[in-house]
Amino acid sequence: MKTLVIQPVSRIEGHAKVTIQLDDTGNVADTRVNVIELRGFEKFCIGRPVEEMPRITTRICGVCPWSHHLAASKAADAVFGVEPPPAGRKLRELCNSIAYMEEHILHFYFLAGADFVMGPDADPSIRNVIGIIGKMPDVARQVVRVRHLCAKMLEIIAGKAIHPDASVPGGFSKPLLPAERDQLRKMADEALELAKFSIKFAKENIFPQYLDTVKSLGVIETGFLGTVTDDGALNLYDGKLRLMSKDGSYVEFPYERYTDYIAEHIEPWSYLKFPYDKRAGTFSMDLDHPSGIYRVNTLARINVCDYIDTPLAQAELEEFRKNFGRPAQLTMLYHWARLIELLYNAENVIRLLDDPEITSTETRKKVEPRAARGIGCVEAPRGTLIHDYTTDDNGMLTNVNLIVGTTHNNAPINMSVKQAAKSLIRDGKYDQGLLNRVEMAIRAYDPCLSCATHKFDGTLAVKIDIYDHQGRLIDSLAN
Amino acid sequence: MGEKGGSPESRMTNVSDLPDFCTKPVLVLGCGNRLFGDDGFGCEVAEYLQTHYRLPDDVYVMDVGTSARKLLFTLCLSPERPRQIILVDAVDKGRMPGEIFELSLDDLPVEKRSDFSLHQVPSSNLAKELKEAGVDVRVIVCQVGRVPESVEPGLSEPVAQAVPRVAAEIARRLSAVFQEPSVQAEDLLEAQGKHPDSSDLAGEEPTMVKEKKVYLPRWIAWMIAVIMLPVWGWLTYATFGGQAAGERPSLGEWAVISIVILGALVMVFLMSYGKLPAYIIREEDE
Repeated sequence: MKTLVIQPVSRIEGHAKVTIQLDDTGNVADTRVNVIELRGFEKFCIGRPVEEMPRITTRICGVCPWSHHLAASKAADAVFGVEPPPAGRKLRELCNSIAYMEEHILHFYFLAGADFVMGPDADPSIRNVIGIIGKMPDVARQVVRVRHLCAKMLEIIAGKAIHPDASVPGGFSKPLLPAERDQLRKMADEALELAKFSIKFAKENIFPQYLDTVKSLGVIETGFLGTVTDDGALNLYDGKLRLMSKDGSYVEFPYERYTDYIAEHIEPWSYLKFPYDKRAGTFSMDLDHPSGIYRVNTLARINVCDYIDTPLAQAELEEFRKNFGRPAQLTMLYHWARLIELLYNAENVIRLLDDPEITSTETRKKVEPRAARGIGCVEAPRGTLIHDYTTDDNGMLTNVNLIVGTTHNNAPINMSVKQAAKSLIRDGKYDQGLLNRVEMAIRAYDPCLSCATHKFDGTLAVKIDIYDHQGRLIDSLAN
Repeated sequence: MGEKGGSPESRMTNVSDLPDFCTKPVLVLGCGNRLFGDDGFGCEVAEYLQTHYRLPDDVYVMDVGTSARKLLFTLCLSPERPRQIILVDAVDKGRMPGEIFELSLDDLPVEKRSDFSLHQVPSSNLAKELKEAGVDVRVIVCQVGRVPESVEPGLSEPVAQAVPRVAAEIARRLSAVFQEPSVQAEDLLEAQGKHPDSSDLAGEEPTMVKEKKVYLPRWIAWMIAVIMLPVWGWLTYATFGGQAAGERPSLGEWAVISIVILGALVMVFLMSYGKLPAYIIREEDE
């Protein structure tokens, strides 16, 4: 698969653009969600020493720098042909899990939480941070505290939480001191309490209330891609890829062989490519007869794994499967799956900190430049992230290819929006709620649409253009 | 929250568990993406401050790259916040590249509060929330010259020149914040004097000059053209056309009047098409 990097819609265009095409009866004929990729990153990297990649790639995305940092480190390990010592590997996994907790808490309580906590039809002006705090002050206080603890934990382990540089080819640059471990351990206990509370709170108060939305919004049937260990347990840092079909059957392959199983489709209207399951032979986003479509991100990982090797998360997984089967297809279940992952990560952090090996001072191996190809893969919060590098004899990059989580989800996001639009536009009639619901369908995937964006004055996030059957623009909705 | 264990007070955040950026009295955040030309301005300023100035302990300078939102969000929720936050960023407001000015949060549009993903939550909303919560939030920006569409790091010349100027301006403001005689402010300015790079600032008061350039609307140029061109046409006809020699304007007269009319016309067009300011308003920020 020859692609792609990231997706700064807003940096240039200012929005994610959704186009809805109506037929002559005023019903939805077609929809397109348009996302722009980050251009030129590959060219920029070529000719640089591969060991710089773990640092440079954190600049791509201010939201999940840790995922890029670790995928780049793993790809560089592979280029140098080294396997980090156990402590190095575990410190990386520890940072990954802490970064996940911070992300998932943020996403659930603030980003998606606005939909659920305040209700999807709430006045946007009260769906702000302080609005949520006002509605649930006690919860908010704890959310705040644990997010701060996560940031602090990363600071202790890696020196800094933004633009990390602690992971290096061959391992981790800084061993963890026993005193630091003890300090982290207390923080981790508190994080676990919040994780336990969050899923309980959501199951009792939030999901039942919005069950209809959960069951109807953006529902599509697809396959799934995620990472599992050799014996099929959920893992977010390392393992093999498992590509599941919608009937639940699957193939497994080492991530180095991703091009044997994943092909990509190009649509003339989209810069971003559409990866699909090669085994299907064809690619189709038809809602009734999709072909080759798979999804990544939380729900995908929860679906592809056989079990979770931490007890509390495993109990939640069993309950989830009892309710929704395997694979679960409802798009809004991404939120539920996210909370199971939050719990898993909280437990995993404690497990790693309790491992005596974590404070070993042997965290790094020496590396020597050579000509090679190396592929690194981690599960980023937003889906399977692949970094693929090739170097010359001096260890200088000659080829770079990145595939990010949102790219895998490009086709499913398009399909979910189409499904949502179809159910919300009938005979040419729709209201402003359409915008909220379409956004909500997109938001469930937590897409990373604008890594390179930071425009301070706040550009448009979503724009929906509606065209009639003769191709005339009849309406534009924007937020 | 329904879990067991201590009273709310006992679970209150212990300040030592907060990241540094929440607990320092003054926070300077350099925002931007170094991968995209002048967009990396804020990051460069943060780095310049860190490497060219001796910063007081109470000031925390961070190159936050594209993570500004995440940080502002954390600050919104934090029980402990800086007294002052200075955001340094790059913007495109159609001014001269390298021009530095302060954006007022009140002038920024309030965008939708709940968005797609954290990537799109406009920082301005979060900054406004912080301001409403009593934090003195300042936004210092630089007009970009060049923001490439594909990855291409490196500041353009005028924007690179603005980096030490903004750093000096921030140092000046910080020295105003830390007024006690002991203070870091002296250190800052002293350090600035010691550095060879700061020679360009030697005679220059690091005040911020607000400069507004005013241009004419385009219709004025066309209206004047419609009036002047026929006059000039008539004059030319009179000079070279069929009239008797005695009544003709001389060639010299024609040349002078032509230069005046056409010159004025060219200037009016330049003023209307943004090439030449009709007038400039300079305000020095005290």
